[in-house]
Amino acid sequence: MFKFIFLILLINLSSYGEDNLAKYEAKIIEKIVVDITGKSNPKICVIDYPSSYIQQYALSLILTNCTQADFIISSSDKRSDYNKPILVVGSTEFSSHDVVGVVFWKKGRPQVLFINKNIRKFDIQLPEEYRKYIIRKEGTLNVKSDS
Amino acid sequence: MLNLILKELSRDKTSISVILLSIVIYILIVLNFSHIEEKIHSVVVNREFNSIENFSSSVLNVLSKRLKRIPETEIKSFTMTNYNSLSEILETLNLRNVEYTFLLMKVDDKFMVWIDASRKDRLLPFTPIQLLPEEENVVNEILKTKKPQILIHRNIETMGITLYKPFFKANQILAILVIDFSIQKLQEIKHILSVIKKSILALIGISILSLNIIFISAVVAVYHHRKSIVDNLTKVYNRNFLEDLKKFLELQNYIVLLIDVDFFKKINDTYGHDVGDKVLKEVVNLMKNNIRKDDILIRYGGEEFLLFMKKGREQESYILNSVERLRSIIENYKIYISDSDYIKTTVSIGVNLSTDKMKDIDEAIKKADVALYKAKHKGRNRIEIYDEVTSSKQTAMKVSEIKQALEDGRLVCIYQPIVDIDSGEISHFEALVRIVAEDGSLITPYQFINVIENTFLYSKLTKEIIEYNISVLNRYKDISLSINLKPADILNQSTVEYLLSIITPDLRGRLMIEIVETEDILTYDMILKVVERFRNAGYEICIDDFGSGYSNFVYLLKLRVDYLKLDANLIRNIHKDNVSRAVVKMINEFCKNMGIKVIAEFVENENILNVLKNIGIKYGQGYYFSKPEPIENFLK
Repeated sequence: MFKFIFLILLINLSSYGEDNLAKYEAKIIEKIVVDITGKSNPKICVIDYPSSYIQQYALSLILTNCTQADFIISSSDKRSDYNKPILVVGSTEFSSHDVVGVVFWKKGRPQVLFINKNIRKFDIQLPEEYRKYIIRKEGTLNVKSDS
Repeated sequence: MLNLILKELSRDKTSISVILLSIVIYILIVLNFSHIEEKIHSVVVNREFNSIENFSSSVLNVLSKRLKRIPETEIKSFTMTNYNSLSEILETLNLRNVEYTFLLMKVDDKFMVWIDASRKDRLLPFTPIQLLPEEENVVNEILKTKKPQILIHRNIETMGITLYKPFFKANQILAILVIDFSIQKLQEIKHILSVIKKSILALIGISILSLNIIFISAVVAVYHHRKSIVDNLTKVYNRNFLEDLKKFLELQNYIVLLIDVDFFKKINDTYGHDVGDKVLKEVVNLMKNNIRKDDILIRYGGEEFLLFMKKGREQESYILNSVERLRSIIENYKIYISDSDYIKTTVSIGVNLSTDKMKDIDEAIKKADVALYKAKHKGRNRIEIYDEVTSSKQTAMKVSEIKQALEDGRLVCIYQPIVDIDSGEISHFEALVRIVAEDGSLITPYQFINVIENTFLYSKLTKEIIEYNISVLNRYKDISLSINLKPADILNQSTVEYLLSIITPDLRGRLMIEIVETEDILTYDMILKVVERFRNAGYEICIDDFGSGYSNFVYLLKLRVDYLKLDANLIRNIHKDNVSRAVVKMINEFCKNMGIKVIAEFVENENILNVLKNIGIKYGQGYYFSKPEPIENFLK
């Protein structure tokens, strides 16, 4: 009985932690997309990313299909056929030329990067406050695996 | 009980104000508790992190020593061996609840992880990292102040608390040690804070509640005490207050007055108790308005008031003038009992000026009472002062002394003749009681009657007087005597039975009963019945002190008395005062028609006697004829 309660508690706590991260991710996505598109209710589509958090925490974003979307939110940098700017969330990979930015976590701190070359491809004008997050080199970020 | 307290509190605006104020204070404390909380928070956090910071200093010292062995050129590009050795040292800081431990460098406005010893999410050297906005401020502050700081992450729920500590090399900040503690740590601190907060609020709440309870209890106690010492009707102190007064009054600084509203019972009986109450209230208001702030007024009995008048630098005469003014104001004041009708009342005042010679308040009051008794006896509406000079002679006797005197047979009567004004012959004698003191002097009734009134000794005294006079009548067969009885005597069954059964019929014809006219006599039908029985038994009846205030012709008719003795007040100025003369004349006419013989007392001089003669008064009594003396002196 005690073990069961402990298990339930553990699941709840872990889901609480995940929920927290997702909440901040959704809000960061919302801010970036709204600021970049300049629209108050930009349309997005999600690929391999849970739409429920967007619906719950990013209320100004409108979920739609990727053909009509202003932005694609994805959990990986897989190439897409839509020729739409992609915001990769939760990964540090940005090999695709459509990936304009990545959102990920380092030591509990949200990190945002914008890929200069890909921004130019989509002719995106980044607001001034985002300029310090632009990287000009290609490749991956040097993150060491867990010890 | 609660209802009672609430009811009493509702009367007391101060209590309500204090309770409301304490509630407001408590709400303000609760609302502003965030400031206090911040302070407690900082104390708790500093306490919690103090040991960690000390430990981290030691670790950084070790790290610094190790770094000295590494070539300068390697600082920005370690070999794996050197990096691992440095990282291992830093790993000792991975305490419970620590999530990330790393050294941070700032290069060109960007932050980089220099050496990472975190349990998870470990980064390669010189990996850029974006700090949270508030973190950037803290780090920049440390770079300026070179002092460690603690940051509690309030804007993001993924982090708890972070310790930032500068790492020096050659007195310059080389990097900043960052130790991120988990949310659990923050929750631990929050839990401690919550317990402290609840404890403090509970303590403040309990303290305020306790203070309120103490305050309310004090208010209720004061209210009850105040209620117990203040007279409900007149709102002046009542007799209970005397007990309090005894504890703090400096008697020698006051004079004591006993003030009695004259004929108050008559007012009550005639006009009803509502008017009686109104009279008392009005008289009290008059007194309150005409005494000073330092004077103390107490309702001592039904219509009797005790006034402690503060002595000033004034002469005694000034004080007595004030008392006289008070008496006069009351005498002239109209108490309206309806829109058009009013009554007037008077007061008798006994004054004790010699309070500095009194043992205590009780003695001072007793002396004032002696003076009051004299004032009432002398016809009321007057002031009598307790006479210090004659006090040695006239001090009221103690009950035990009176009892002893009765047991020793030291009760005597002296006699004053009642003289036929026309013939000059003695009609009879009035018996006047005295106690023979141990030194042989005579003690007047003023000094003992009052003391034993309403005690068993009083009826014993009455019987002794009757017995004394019976023996005189038995000794001297040719004389008649009169004795004074108060209504209390007439209502005393044993006294009545004694007069009706023990005394032989032949003696009854020579013993006249003088009933002292007081307010009681006219109100008791019982007295009428007893007087009727006396008459039937052969006693002659005389109304004493007629005209002293209670005179009522209707009752006079009902009593069917044989004699009527006019009060000294009517006679005293009869040779100078037309009104007195007219009244006496009228009473005399009435008595003549009714067959009642009239005696005038206080015949002090020839002028009075002549007026009485002219009016046609039958009998006279007073110093002009003779002072009271032993009966033998008249029969030589």
